[in-house]
Amino acid sequence: MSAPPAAMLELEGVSAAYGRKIRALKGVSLEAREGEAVALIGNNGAGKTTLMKVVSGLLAPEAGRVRFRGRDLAGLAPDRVVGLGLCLVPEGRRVFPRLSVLENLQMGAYARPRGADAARDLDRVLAMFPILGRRRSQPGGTLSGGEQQMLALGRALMAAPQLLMLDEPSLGLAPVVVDQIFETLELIKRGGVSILLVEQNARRALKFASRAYVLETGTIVAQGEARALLDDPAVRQAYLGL
Amino acid sequence: MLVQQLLNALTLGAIYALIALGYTLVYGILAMINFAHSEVLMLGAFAAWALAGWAPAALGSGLWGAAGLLAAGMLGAGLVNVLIERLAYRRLRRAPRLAPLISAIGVSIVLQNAVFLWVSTQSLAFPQPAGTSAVSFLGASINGLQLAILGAALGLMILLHLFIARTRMGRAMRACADDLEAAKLMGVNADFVIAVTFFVGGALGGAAGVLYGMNYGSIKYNMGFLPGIKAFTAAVLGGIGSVRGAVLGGFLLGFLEVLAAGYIPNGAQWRDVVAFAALILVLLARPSGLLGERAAQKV
Ligand SMILES: Nc1ncnc2c1ncn2[C@@H]1O[C@H](COP(=O)(O)OP(=O)(O)OP(=O)(O)O)[C@@H](O)[C@H]1O
Ligand SMILES: [Mg+2]
Repeated sequence: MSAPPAAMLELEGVSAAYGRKIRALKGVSLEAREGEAVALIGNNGAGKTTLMKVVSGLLAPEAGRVRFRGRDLAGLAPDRVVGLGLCLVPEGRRVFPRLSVLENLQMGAYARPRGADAARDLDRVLAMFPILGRRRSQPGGTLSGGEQQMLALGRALMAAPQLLMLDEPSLGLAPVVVDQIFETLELIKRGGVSILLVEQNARRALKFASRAYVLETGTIVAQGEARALLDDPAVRQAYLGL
Repeated sequence: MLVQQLLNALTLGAIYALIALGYTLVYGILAMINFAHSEVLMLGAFAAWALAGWAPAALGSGLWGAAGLLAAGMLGAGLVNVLIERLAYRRLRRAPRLAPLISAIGVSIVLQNAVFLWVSTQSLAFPQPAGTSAVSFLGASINGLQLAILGAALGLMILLHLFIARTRMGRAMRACADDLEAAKLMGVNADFVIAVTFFVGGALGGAAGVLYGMNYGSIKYNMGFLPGIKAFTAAVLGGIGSVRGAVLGGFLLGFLEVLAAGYIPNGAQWRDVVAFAALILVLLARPSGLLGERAAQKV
């Protein structure tokens, strides 16, 4: 037996709020190990995006601890966090609308030391998404929704992350495009990158991930092997519409 | 006569454009109007004036001396603008929009009065570079000083374009203007990029202040007000937030004013009326300005 993979990301009792009244996370603990794909599912308003904001440094937690590869992220601004190898593909894609596709991808490599293997990664991303190469000088805002999602994903890969967090990458996309996105995620996973995936499409997410957490109004209410959750009657009823 | 009028319009327009760029750069990234910008340009002129008084011999009186004054004005105004952002705006970035606006007006009044009280209440002579009095061009004798001012302003605009379009920092500035939060997620230190934006915008304003001072040969504590408000108008005319719009708006306003002054009877008194009437007409037809993008395009 080999030793279990080391923890990549650990959350311990994390609470977060917007203002005084809206408590969006109430003592959430979860972890993602090296090379592992973890899904986080939950209904609208459960706090999934909030959790990703806390991890990426956009929102300071009220309590609890976030550690990435053993390092406490407390007080780190988002631009520092991404430099550690943790990259978020935000909800709604958020490509830079007036920057060209190529410039969007270059922005993805912003946090890396200059002259790093960015050129090689650019080739890799363009090979993964040939459409981005054909649209390289077009403004990001003129791409279709699916193309924008590919751009957002490609941009995040340009940061050469060790942990990739994705907030609803399939939202509003045609089924074919969703398939393509998940095929790419599969490739990324096989490349050794850890993934934390938030999805509305719970079935898809549970089939993709090895482990999963279920978030309800700011609290983890279930967790375990993704397969087991797929068969869990409560989860099936609440999230898979069965 | 016509050539001279054309040069008047271009010179005035170039100065407006430089100032307008300062408004538009800041607006592009923070969606706020830096109403202290007129005082930034005034302080740029005063910084250059102070240098000229302190080291007249070192500067000399030719074009090189003028370039030194320009550099001093740009550096001074850029630093002042960075300081203003740090002290008066940064903490208000998430506040309701009126708060930074009022803060900016406050800064403007404080700076103007500080110069009024501590430097001078009167007009001060500003050095004009020697050897640029009259040049013959297309058979007409035209003002060489204006030609130099126009050249300097155009040079700065080209440099700004190259900076924004070609450099890593320029790209980060555009990314922040598009989506500040997404830029942070890519590793951009937004506070630093905003400071750089204020420096660049302030430096362009300072350059305009120095060129304005050279053009008229004098500066005064309230010299920023009128060109400031007109350049703001120019920025809105071109489409606030748009760099090309600021340049277009600046030159357009310069031409409108000079045409009104030259070709309408009693035109000198009508120039501002014509200019602002044109602004109203353009905004009625195109509320987001000539080259402005619809607000909805910003995510
Ligand atoms: N900027 C904000 N200001 C105030 N409240 C917010 C803000 N963002 C989210 N909330 C609230 O926090 C709670 C959690 O929101 P969050 O966006 O994390 O949910 P989510 O699980 O991502 O939902 P969805 O599936 O709809 O994206 C919700 O009650 C939401 O209304
Ligand atoms: Mg969400």
